[in-house]
Amino acid sequence: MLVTGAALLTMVILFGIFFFLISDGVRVFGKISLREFFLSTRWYPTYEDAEFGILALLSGTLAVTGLTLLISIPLGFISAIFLAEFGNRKTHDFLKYVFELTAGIPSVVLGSFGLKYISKWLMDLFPMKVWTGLNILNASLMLSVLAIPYFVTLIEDALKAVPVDQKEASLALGANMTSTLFRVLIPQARSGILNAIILGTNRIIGETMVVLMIAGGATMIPQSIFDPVRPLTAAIAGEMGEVELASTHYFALFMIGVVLLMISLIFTVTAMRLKRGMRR
Amino acid sequence: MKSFVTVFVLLMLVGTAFGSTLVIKGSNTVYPVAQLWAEAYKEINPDAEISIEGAGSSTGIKALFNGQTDIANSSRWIKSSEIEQMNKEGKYFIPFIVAYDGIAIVVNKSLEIENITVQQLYDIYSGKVTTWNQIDSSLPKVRIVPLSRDNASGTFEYFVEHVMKGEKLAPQVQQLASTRAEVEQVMQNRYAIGYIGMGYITEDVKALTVENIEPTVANVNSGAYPISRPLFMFVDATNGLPTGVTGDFLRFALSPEGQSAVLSVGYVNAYGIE
Repeated sequence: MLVTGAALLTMVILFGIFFFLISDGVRVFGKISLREFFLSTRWYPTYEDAEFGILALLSGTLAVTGLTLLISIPLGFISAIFLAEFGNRKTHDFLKYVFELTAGIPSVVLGSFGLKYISKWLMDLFPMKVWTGLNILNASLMLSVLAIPYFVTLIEDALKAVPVDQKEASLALGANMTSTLFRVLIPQARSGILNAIILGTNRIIGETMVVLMIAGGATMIPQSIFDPVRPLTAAIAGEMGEVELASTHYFALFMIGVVLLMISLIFTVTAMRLKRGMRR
Repeated sequence: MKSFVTVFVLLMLVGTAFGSTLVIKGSNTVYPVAQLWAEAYKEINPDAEISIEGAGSSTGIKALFNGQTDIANSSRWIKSSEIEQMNKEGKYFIPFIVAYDGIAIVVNKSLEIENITVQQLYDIYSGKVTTWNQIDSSLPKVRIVPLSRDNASGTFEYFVEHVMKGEKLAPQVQQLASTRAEVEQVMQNRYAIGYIGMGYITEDVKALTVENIEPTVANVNSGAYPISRPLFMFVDATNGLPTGVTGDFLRFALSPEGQSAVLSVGYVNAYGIE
């Protein structure tokens, strides 16, 4: 009874959020064409002749998320394999503890760190290329700190969920640990690994504080990882507090929320399909 | 001041028979300093209740006409249409200058530049000029890194109005979430330029002269410094100068203690400080 009630309540809340977000969001199209909203790069919401194009903001979200995945998936994957299959008990427990601690760092602390140190280091390290310390790379590095423990924990769980007899059978047949890993464990765990990647990616796309503080805040289409960007979440967080109620700007911010929701939805559904395909 | 921030600072001393409520409405630029004063005032007069809203200068003056507020905060002078309405309704509002909003232009200490013109600022922030040697031929040919505040901030609005004349900022202008972040970047980046409230100037950055006028309290108070404006509190003086809590609150705001508080939110004091 209680469980059903809780599940129902969650569903009602979820659909409620969907409903209010979408019903407010779509009202922006009374003022702005679909074409301008999605295809214009010009986001100037507070001027006399305001413009509401989100393409540059969207490209910022994609750039930061993409680079974060490139950094954090390989690192997370290797760490998870190490934790699951190699290393003795002591190192395992120690590393596990480190990852758990890392997962607990508040994002505002990571943002401050990026603002004060990473920004400076990047400028010192690549003085020719880095014209501003607040850029895609800085944000992606700090986001990776958030994402890696996520990937490690979930991928390790997926690898551990593979029945022990399969692994032992492989080893007994004379296969060494490496080929057991790549031929048996990873293929068996792939649906869990995929699940880990989806959850992690959704977490990165939605992260707000880090990108608001250190992604650079420039509403431009990036040409390199050293360019500053302003992701969708940063625009919402930066502007929602001061926006006039029921204005075009207000509805546009809600529509950005809808876009973020859609990205995450498309992503999740595609991955679920892939998973189903794998099981067959 | 189109934005619609409605925040109430209220002091819960319910039931005090002699408790008096002061209502302040208007400009969201004046809001942060009014809030500071309200907090400090409450400490001296624990019975006072003060509610503050920051929904824009025009909203404040409208509320003064309706009698819905005791004090109307404004970041602009009264409009001619409002003077007409005052004449028609037989009302008389008087302004008090409570502080100045002055914008300092800051660069890295190592950059060899001392002065900038409003036109040059316009060129930099609109993207017409992108390297420092275009500003001064003795400067290196390196990309200018222009920094700005979020488009939700009052400082941003004022900058766009007075320096940009309504022109849009170039896409590469970086909008940062706080003045702290701006100062931090200017300290780190030798080629960055930013604009901040004058009260936020620190030893770690170089504040430029604008049109050869130094950003000092004296120059802002005299009106000589080009990017500054007075901030007002208007009161209804139809029946004489404000008395009671309203008068008391204003006296506190203009006192040396009240004026010192102005600096901590980035503004410039209008009168002597402690």
